[in-house]
Amino acid sequence: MADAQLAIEGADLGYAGRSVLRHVSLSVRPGEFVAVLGANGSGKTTLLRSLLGFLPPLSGRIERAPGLRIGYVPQRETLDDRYPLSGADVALFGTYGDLSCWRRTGVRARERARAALASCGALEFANRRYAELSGGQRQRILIARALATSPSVLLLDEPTAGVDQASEAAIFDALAELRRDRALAVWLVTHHEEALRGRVDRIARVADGAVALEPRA
Amino acid sequence: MSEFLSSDFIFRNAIAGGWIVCVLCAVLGVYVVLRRLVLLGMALPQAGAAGIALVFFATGHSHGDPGQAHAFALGGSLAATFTALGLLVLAGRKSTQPVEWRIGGILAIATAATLLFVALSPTGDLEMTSLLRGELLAISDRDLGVLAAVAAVLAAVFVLFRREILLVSFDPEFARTIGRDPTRYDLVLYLLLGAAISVGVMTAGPMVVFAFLVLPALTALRLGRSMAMTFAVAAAIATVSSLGGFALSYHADLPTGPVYVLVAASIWLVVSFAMRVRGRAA
Repeated sequence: MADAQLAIEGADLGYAGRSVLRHVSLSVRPGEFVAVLGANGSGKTTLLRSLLGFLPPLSGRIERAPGLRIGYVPQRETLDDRYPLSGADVALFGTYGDLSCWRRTGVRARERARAALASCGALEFANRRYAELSGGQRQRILIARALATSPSVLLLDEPTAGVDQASEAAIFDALAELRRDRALAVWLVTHHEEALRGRVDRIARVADGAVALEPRA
Repeated sequence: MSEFLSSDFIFRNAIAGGWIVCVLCAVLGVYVVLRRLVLLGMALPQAGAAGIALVFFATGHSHGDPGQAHAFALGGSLAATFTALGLLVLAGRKSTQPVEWRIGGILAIATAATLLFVALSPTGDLEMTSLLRGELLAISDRDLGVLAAVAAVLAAVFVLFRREILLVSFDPEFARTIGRDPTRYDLVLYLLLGAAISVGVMTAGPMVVFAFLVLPALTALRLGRSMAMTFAVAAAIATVSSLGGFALSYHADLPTGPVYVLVAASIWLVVSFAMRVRGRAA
């Protein structure tokens, strides 16, 4: 897998023995911004879940660099906003992987979450209740939570679905900046190809049970 | 009021036992409501009651040493509650049907089993009344000691895994990405619920347990601005409801369990009404 942090080699990906994507080979390289595009039901989520390690390959291999940390940003509609949590509370979840049961959530963890919020431009609304935030603001909080895990790969599942154009552009700009500043590999599932034009290094197009990698859009 | 505080007040154990059960259920109830497990909160206490009824039927509750009978009944409650939980988990592993269907089935079976075992019991209706009310007024020093010890262990486990339980409840997929297995911490939550419900049903009856798994949490989630504040408000409502409810039932000579529930329900209704009025005014 050379310098790749995560690589899929000749793998069939799917659920319960049924292939959704066949003969997939790709690598996730440091500092690379990749858009995963495809129609609904084409297998984008299957690819993402396989990269996350939630779905073992049906055949072939998925290799991860030792100690690899993946920051995951789910679709925000999957989260229940009845929980009495502030944006800062949600971002703090990103530090929990490094805290044992016996340890308190100390100053260091809070500072890490705060730095992640600051890097996403989310500090000013972080103390408001998560349920009261706009779609774009919630998305920034979720990106901050993923960053608080200290990842080297960031996987985002439709982070701009349902947000206005200005917020979408701001989110893409923030991701591009993070990629540049931290050499983060960013893989982003989206339907908004036009909005990403000129921002990404490669496109992974998912269609007809296959993944085709295309150079810069 | 001063008589309640007296060390030789005859119902001192009942007050303390009721308070422990109510607070325990109220705090865990926050997750029952947030995770939409309200039907489970109804089915598990009923399963616990069915377990006690089975033990009453099998051993003859009114005969022999009451301490031994209580121990048997606690065993029955624990066994039935965890059997129901186990069936739900095992049946749910490969099922694509909604979990509510299975919980509803267990509730129906547990309710029927309770009635059946009580009908077959040699002491019949007497057991039934005792079962549905719980045996708050009959708590011995030993029962209270066991209840307090169990509550202390459950509280310690809850505090120990507070972050993980919250994380897997709010976003199980994200939890997996940071190495926190949702199945493991769901199991911790279910074990806490099962144990609290088992001892709660033994002490205060299934109606009080179900009500306190739901009502204080419903109120607290309207008032709480954070998880810690929500747990604190739920515990405070449980305290006011159990202590106030006991005083009310004592002076009005009413059964304690239903009065506890009425006080908690009144707080919920008043808060809900006030929040609605405030929402309209804002």
